[in-house]
Order: sequence, then structure tokens, then C-alpha cells
Amino acid sequence: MRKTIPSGKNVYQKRKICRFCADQNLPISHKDYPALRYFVTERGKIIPRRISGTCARHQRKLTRAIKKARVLCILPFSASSV
Amino acid sequence: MRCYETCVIAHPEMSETDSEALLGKLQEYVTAHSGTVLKLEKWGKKKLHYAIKKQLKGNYFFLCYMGNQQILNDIDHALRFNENILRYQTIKADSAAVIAGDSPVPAAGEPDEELRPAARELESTPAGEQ
Repeated sequence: MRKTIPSGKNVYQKRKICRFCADQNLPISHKDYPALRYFVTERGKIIPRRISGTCARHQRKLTRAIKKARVLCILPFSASSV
Repeated sequence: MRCYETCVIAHPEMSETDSEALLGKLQEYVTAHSGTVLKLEKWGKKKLHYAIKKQLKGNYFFLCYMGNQQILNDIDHALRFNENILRYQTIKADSAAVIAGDSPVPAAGEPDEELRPAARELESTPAGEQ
């Protein structure tokens, strides 16, 4: 993937792969804490897809799952300072 | 008929008989309106990520069923006015996934092994066997 940085140079970056597209059988569940933890920061924020590499479709599903998990106390809304 | 799943967080000090009575009542509501219970799980006591009603631990129950709006109303009414219930959430579920047993073992909060012997046993068995 070619990217242009502010200085005008072209930088080549490896394209990130959506892990849910790579493995179609991988479920997105709001009850699966170990899987969801991978997509939130230590403070409990949802990691943007430009960083995690998740595709738009799966990021939407993931976001809904994380928000449901927060209601059930499976994930924090905001973790207290470490 | 749609498939729904209800997750209940009960008070950690709720007695065994009370919780059994509650689960019995919920199942009764489902069957009373010609619904079917697909799954009933007890996840046990787990640490909560934030306090609910000043409690830092909760007793989790999980119920999956086919049903209609009347069942949802009854369950909602039963849980809302029960002081032992910290929180509950009902969502529409994918019935095919539930029937296939595709329900990952939850692990809320930090893994609290001492409190979750039942869940640990489930984790050790491969997912396909459930």
C-alpha cells in the first residue's frame, strides 16, 4: 500500500488484514472477553480500524459487540488509571 | 417466533434457592407463551469491571430462548422489580448460532479462577464438543 507522507515522499506500508475476513468462522460475540480485549486499549477505548486493520463491516459488528459487553460489565466503559 | 438471549447479573450474595427460584420462574414465562428454552447457563460469580449498585462482583446467568413479545414483557417485569438483580440485558440472537452451540465461554473482568471453577472446566473442553 502506497502512502504519501507530509514531506512528499512515498512510503510503502504492508496492508493490514482484517482477521475476521481472513477467518470467516471467527465469531464476534459480546460475551467473548478474551477476543474483545484485543480490540480495546488498556483504558477501554475501542481501537480504530486504521490501527487494528479490521475492515469497515467487521469494525461495525465489533463496535456493537463491545458496547453490549460494556453494559454487561464484561468490558469497562473507562478503566481507572493504572 | 424469534430467538432472544437474556443475560442477568444478580447480587453476589443471592442465595442458591433464590436464584433457582428465579431461573425456574423465567423458564416458566417462556414455556407459558409457547416458547422454548434453548439454553440455560450459570456463569457463576465474576468480578465486575465497574460497580453496579455498589457491588463489585456479580452472579451471572444466561438464558437463550425462542419466544415472542409477551415473554419479553414478562421477563422484563420480573427482573426489573427484583431487588436482587443488579442488571439484565435482552438482545435478539442468531438462532442458528445458538442451536449450533456457538456460545463462547465468557470471561468478564480479570480472570478470576477461584470464583469460576465451572467456566474453567468448559474452557478446557474443545468448542465443538459442547
